[in-house]
Amino acid sequence: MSVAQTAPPAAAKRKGPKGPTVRQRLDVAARAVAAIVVGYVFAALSTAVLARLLPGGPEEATIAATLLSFAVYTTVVVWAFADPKTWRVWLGLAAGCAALGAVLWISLIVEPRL
Amino acid sequence: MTHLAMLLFAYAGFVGICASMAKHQPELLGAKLEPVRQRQVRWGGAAALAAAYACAVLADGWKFGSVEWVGAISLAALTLTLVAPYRPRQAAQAGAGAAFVGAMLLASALLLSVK
Amino acid sequence: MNGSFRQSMAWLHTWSGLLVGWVLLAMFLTGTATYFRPEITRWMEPETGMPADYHIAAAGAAAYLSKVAPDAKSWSITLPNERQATANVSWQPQPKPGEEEKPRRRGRNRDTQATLDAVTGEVVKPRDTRGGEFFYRFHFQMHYLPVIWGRWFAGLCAMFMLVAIVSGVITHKRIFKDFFTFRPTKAAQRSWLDAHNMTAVLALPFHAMITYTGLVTLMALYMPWGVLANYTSDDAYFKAVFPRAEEVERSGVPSPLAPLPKVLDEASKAWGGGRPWIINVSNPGDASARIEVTRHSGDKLSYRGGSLTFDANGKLLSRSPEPGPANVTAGAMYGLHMGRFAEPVLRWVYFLCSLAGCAMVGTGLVLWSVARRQKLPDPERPHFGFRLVEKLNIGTIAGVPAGMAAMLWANRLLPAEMANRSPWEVHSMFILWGGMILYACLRPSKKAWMETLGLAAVMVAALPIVSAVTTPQRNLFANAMRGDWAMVAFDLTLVALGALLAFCGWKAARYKPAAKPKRKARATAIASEAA
Repeated sequence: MSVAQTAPPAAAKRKGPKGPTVRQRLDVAARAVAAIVVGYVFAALSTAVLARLLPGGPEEATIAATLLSFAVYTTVVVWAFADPKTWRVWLGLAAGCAALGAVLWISLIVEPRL
Repeated sequence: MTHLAMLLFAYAGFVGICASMAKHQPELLGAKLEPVRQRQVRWGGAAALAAAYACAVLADGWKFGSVEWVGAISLAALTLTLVAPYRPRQAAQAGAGAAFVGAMLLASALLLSVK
Repeated sequence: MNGSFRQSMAWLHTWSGLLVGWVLLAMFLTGTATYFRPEITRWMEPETGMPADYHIAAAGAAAYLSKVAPDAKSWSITLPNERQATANVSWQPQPKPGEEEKPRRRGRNRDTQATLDAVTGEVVKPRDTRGGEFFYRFHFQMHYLPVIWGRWFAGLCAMFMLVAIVSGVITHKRIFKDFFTFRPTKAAQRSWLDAHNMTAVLALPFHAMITYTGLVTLMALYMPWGVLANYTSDDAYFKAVFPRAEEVERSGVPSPLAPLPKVLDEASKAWGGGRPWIINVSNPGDASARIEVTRHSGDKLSYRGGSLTFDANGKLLSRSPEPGPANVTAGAMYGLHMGRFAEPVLRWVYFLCSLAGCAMVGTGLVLWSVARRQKLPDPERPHFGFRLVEKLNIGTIAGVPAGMAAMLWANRLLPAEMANRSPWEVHSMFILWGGMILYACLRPSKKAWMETLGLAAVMVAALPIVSAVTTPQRNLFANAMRGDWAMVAFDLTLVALGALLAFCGWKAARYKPAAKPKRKARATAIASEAA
C-alpha cells in the first residue's frame, strides 16, 4: 500500500515545490463534483427506480432500495476517481441518470404513487 | 465461562494461523516449520477459531453469537499483533495455554449444562 | 485517475480520510462512549440511585401518574433496564375544549414529565445535565448547528468514511500477507503505517459494519427518494411501515387500570420472554383505556421490537404485524449499530472494537503528516497545509478525549443551581477542544503532543478523584460497598483510559525523527516496495 504516494499520479512525476498544476486541480474538482453531487443524484434515482421495481410490495421494496443506496453511491464515487478519463465519468453518470430518470418517469405514469 | 473460552480460543486460533506463516515463524517459534507441521498448525488455528464460534453460539445463540465471534476474533488478532513484536515467544506460548484452558472451560461448561 | 487503479485509490483513500478525519475522530470517540450511555448518565446524575427490576419501576410510575395526571389524554412510561436507575414518565393533558390539539413537541416539556427513581417511584431531581445523551446526540448531529444540518454533515462524513474504507481495502494489496505485521521499532512511517493497517484491517468487519449501518440509521433523511417514489407523503409511508393502533374515544365510564406489572408479565409471555420498554396508556382511568407495550430494542438483533395492545382490564387486544424481510434487515442493521442487545461481554467487545476504530482514524491522520514530512522541501519550515494538519491532529487527538473529560469535570464542579448549567457542561467540552487546538498552534509540535496528551491523560484519570471529592456517595469504595459494580467499573475504566493517553504521550516524548537523508532513502524504499 502506498501512502507516500498521496498526490494524483500524474502530478507525482512533475511534482516539485510547486505542487499540482492548474489542469490537475481542475481535474480533481471535476471528479469531486461528479462523485459527490452527480453521484448522489444517480444514487437517489437508482433508489427511486428500485423502490418501484423490486418485488415484495411497496414498503419492502422501498426499504430494500434505500438500504442499497449507500452501496450504489460508494461504488459511483470510487469509479469517479478510478476511471482514467474524467469525461467518461461525466458522460457515464449523465447517461445513467437520464436512463434511470426515464424508467422512473414511465413507471410513475403506468402506476401512480400511493 | 463460555465467553472466556471463546476469547481464549480466538486468541489461540490466531496464534496458530500467525505461526503457520513463514515470515512470523522465526520470532514466534525460533525456527522455521516443516511444511507438514506448518499445515497442521494452520488447521489447528482454524479449529480453535471454529471452537471460539461454537462457544459464542453456545453462550448467546447463533445471532448474537455470530456478532460476538466476529468482534472477539478481531480483538484477539489485535491483541496478538500488539504483543508479538515485544514478547514473541511468550505470545506464542500463551496461545497454546489459551487453547488448553479454553478447552477445559468449554468441557466443564458442557458438563454443567448436561447436568 | 491518470495512473494505475491502485494509485488512484491510494489518492482517494488519503484525501477522503484526511478531509473529514478530525470530525470522524470526534464522531468515533463520542460514539464509542455511547456504548456506555446509561452508565455515563448514571455517573453524571449522582443524585439517582440504583437500577431496579422493571416491575417495581412500572408500579411506581403508574402510582405517580395516577396521582398527578389521573385524567390525562395519555401517559408514557419509559421503563429502566438493568443499567438505568430512573424511569422517565410524561403525560399529555386533555386538550381544553375549543383549543386545538397541539402536536406533541419533542424535547423536554418540564411541566408534563418527570424522572422517577427506579426503586421508590419517587420523583428525583438530578442536577441539570444532559448525561450520556449528549455524546449520543453529538455523535450523529454535531452541536451548535441546526439539527438537520448537523445530521447531514455527519452523514457526509460517514460517506467519506465509507469511501475511505473501500478505497483503503483496494489500496492495501497485502491484507493477508501483512495480517499480523506490526513493526514498532522500524522507521516512523513504517510503524505508523503498520499501526494504521493493523487497527483498520483486524477490526475491518466492525468498521465496515458501523459505517454502513450508521448511514442506515438516518437513511430516511439521507435517501428519502425511495419513499417519495412510492408514496405521496412521508405519513403514508410511515403508516404502512409502522402501523399504529387506532385511537379510541373516551367513553366517560370510569374504570381502574389493570395493574401494570401484571400487564407486563402478559406481554413478556406473549413475546416468549422478551422485556418491555415503553408503555403508552391512552385514556387512563377510563373504560376505553388502551395499554400499548413496546418491546425492548435490546431483545433481538433487529431493532424493530414490535408492540402489544391491551385493554383497560389487561386483556391482549392486538399485536403489531410481523415486519417483512427487508424491514427486518433494516432493523437488524440499526440494531447492530446501536448494540443495545449487547450483554456485558459483547458490549465490551463493541467498545474495544470501536476504540480500535478511533485508533485507526487517529493513526491515519498522523500517518499523513509523517509521510508528508519527508517530502517537504524544508522540514524546518513546512508549508501552511502541513502545519494546519499537524496542529489539528494534535488538538483533536488529545483535545476530544480531554474535552469529553472536561464535560464530566464540569458536571461535578459547576454549582448545582447555576443557570444554563447543562449547556455550560457541553460548552466546556468545546472550549477545551478549541483550546487544545490553539495551544498546539502556539507550541512546537513535539512539545505540544506531549503536553496535550499529558493533560488529557490527567483529566481523564483524575475523574474518579474529582467525583469522590465532590460527591461522597460516588467514590470507589462507596460504590463497591453498595454493590454498584457498573460505577466501580466506570471509575476503573477512566483510569485505564487515562493510562492509555499517558502511554501515547510517553511515546510522543520518546519519538525521534531519524536523520533526514536516511529517512528519505527508506521512504522511497517503502514507497516502491508498497506501490
